[in-house]
Amino acid sequence: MKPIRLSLLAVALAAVMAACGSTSGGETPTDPATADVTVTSVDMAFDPGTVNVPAGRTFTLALVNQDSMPHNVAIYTDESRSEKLFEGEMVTDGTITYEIPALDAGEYFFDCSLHPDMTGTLVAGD
Amino acid sequence: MTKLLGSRTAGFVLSAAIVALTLATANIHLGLGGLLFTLNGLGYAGLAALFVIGAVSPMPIVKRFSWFPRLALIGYTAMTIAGYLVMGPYFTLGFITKGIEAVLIGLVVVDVIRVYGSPMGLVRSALTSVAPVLPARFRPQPA
Repeated sequence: MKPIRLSLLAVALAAVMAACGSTSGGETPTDPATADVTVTSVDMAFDPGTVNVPAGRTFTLALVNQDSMPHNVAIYTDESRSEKLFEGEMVTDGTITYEIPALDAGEYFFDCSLHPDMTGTLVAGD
Repeated sequence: MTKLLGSRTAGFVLSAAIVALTLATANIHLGLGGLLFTLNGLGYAGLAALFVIGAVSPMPIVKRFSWFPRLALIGYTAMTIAGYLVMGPYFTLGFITKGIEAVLIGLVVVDVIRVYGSPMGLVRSALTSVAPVLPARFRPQPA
């Protein structure tokens, strides 16, 4: 078989393998029990939809993804999504723990960067 | 190079690679969930089907419009890449997918050169296929 044909086959094979895999960026399987708060993504929604977190200090948030598609958590000042405060890496079919910088007391908006309809509220307080 | 591309085997391998890459990116988009990605994936799957039909069908009407799946695939893929660059989100699988799509565009361009001689050849073929409904001044003149 000539080199160009081999190259084409290799490209096609690589593409199919990439498509069939469940790769996503920066998956870090961790134990959600050690995180300050845990959020589960299931059926294209966050559970719970409202999450209470400590204000004024760095905290950890575990995202347990029970869907087959990748999800993450991105935090904004409000629903307008005009000011992003944090964006976590995607996780597919597993758990990732984010270390989130300190937030002032108040309400924040969060979503999945890939699925903007998946939203929730983060309440930072004492 | 032109001689190599002109062979039936090269045509088959090239078409198979194009269909494989199209189905790969369709599969990735369908796996992402959400309406936008699902529609995007279905679009790729439809274009893969059109490409296969255009490549294998002996029907004259299909051959006449075989330029369409190629042009649509290039345009659709370019728009998908542009949309991703504008909207994100940027993560590993996203970049892998855009890499597949960039290679896909390259292979379709090679296929266009193989079949029509040049991109302008495809344009001429497209104009010829729709010539009966074009105003006279837009109809391609015989060489």
